[in-house]
Amino acid sequence: MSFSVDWESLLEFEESLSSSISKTNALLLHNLELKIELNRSSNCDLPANDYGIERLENDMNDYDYCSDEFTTCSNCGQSLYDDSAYKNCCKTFVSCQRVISSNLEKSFWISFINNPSSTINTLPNYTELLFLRQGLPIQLRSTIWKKLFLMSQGNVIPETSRLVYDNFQHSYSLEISKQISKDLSRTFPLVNFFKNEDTINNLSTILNVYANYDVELGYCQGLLFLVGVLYYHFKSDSTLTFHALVTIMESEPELHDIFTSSTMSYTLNKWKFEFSSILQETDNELYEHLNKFVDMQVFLYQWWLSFISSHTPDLSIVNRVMDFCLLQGWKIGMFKISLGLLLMNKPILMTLDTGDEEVIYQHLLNESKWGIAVKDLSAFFGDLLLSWEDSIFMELPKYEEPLFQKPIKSHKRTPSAMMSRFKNLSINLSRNRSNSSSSQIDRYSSSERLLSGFSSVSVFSTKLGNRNDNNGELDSIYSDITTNSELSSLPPKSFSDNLKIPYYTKCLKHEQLIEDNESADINNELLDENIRLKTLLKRAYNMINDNESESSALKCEISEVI
Amino acid sequence: MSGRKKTLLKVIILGDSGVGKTSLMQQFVNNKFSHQYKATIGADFLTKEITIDNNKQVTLQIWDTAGQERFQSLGVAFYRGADCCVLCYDVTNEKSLNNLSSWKDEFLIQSNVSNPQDFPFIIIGNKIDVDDSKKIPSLQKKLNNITNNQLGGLNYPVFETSAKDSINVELAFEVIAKMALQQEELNDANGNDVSDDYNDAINIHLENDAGGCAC
Repeated sequence: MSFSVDWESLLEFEESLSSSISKTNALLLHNLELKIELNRSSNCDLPANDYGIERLENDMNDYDYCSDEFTTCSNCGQSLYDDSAYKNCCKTFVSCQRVISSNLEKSFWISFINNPSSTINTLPNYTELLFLRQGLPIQLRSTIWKKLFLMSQGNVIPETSRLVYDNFQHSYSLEISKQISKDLSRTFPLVNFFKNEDTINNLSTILNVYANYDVELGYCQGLLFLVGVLYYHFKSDSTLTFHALVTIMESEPELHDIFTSSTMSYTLNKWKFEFSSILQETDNELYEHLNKFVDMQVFLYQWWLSFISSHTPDLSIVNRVMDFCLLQGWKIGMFKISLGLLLMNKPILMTLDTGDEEVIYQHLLNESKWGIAVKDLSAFFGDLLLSWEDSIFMELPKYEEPLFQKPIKSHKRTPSAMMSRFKNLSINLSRNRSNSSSSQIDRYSSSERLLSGFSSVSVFSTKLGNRNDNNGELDSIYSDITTNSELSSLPPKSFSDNLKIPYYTKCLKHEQLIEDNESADINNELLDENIRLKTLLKRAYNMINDNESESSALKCEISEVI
Repeated sequence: MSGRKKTLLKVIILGDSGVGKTSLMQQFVNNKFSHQYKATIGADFLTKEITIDNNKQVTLQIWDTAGQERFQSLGVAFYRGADCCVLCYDVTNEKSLNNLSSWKDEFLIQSNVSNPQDFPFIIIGNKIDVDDSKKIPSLQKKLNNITNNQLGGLNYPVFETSAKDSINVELAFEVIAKMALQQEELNDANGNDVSDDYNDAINIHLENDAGGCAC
């Protein structure tokens, strides 16, 4: 059977969609741009053209539903894992899933799998229609997700991710390891896949390596909801899962920050503020109503910290949440889903009033919040979530930090954490070699030579003295790596080739260098003490949040001191 | 139904990750135990109506919290208006015992309660069903040490429970309910006026910080 991608019809259809929808696709394209920037690779930029109609049809027809615990019948919600328990609706569901009838859609998926970035770029409306409105073909989800993380790399996981993953599998932090192993069995406790010993071991390795690699974040409860689902769909490919986690965290610094000790409180407050204003703009009546007696933090933080995946009536929803966020970006994706959940539940929420807070919290914290969406996921993820202008989510109001709510540690993370890691590695190397107490500026400049052309401030910077607790750990990790000839013998240039920094890092460069030179001169002890005092005052200040007149006077007084 | 305002008592369960906070709450409210609870992200809560002190009906609203240390700073919204705070540790995990005072301190800092000196806390050591050999050696001594040196020598009630085998859970929550009710009545008597307590709260906090943590 001969089949060729029908570009003409695809473009024609895209044209008709764009004239009828009249959307900008700004978020989709912005997110694509981020992915491409992060994935840019010098050695291979070849689109793989090996995915054709035969493979597509094989993938579609040979799919084994009985090995897929994340798919449920769209009608009864029952898992398709056990085919002996299929009801009629389940059988119908499965048989409907077996084929892609439209040649246009076949063309799209072949084109997408061979060259995801240009397909999204050329056909943004059709992409959103198929991804979000119609839902990914179950049989292709793994392949499609994989493509989203290996944008223009062919099918190859970038060497850097591979190296980090292979070489950081030791010197785990005991405390983090313990926490991870506690959580492994309690993330998707009912899913058999996550009870499997190999799964548990590999997930544990992925998260421990990530904690070694991203010392600033380490490990945070909630991450497993993302990592577990990725690992599941990547068919137990640990390196790819690790690469995907790194890519997600680096493409969205704010997502990274809600899981990081030093920044989570501040960033979540910021998100809550921004989300509130989006709600206000979208549905002022609901906003005013909730604002009267509900603290949205109670459920919003749970949603966001668990990728909106911890309390869902069935796992198909988790798939759809991930599809949505992979395409739209995580922060904005989760904002849209959260907004959708509140609006969908508006009829219930409006009937409850002061005194019923707990009913609202119970409802929104638990599975019941998905209510009617369960029956029609396409309406929820397609119609409702795509009904808002992208601009509402892109032009967020500026968050005015409440006094003293700033993160205690200065937050210097750049999008290219990978760079920082290696840079820091080189700092450690040079320090070890010279074994002298060179000044901070010297250290930076020596690393500058090693990684010519790239600058980003190390996240491990010790200048504020806040990282003392981690230093022992770090040193041990890096000293081990020092002896690893594979890493240290690589010419720095090849790293920089692999690690293209997203464009906005460049803007930060100048500013941060100045900052660093200045702070290097400041006495560390004084800084420490200052920070401690500020912390104390900040905490005291927090205690007086609720009151009106007296506290504002006191607040003024405290702010003068700082 | 009678139009009388029902008594709602808010109870917060704190403690390290994995000590069994969710299990305790589930055992008390639903009389069940499972190995398949999810890790609590953010917070969660259940309510149960019980009768205490001569047929007094109260509703316990029990808040289950995330145990990982970094979530401590997010507590504000959940802690506010609490009537009793349950500090949990795992009798097989010494670190969870040592962290009790830091959970207590963080609670007092964030909850802004009107009477930090005599706010009702209760201590629960969970998992007594496990083998004795796995338990913290000379637990009683260590616990005394902590109550004397870190919890200000205050005589907080201590219960050893097993959420798994339902030992002492009911009993502990009965005491919790009584303590919470007292606190609630105290607040009512004070007209819920907390405005005079800022100085106290600040002093307490500074003292704690200056003393440092022994662990």
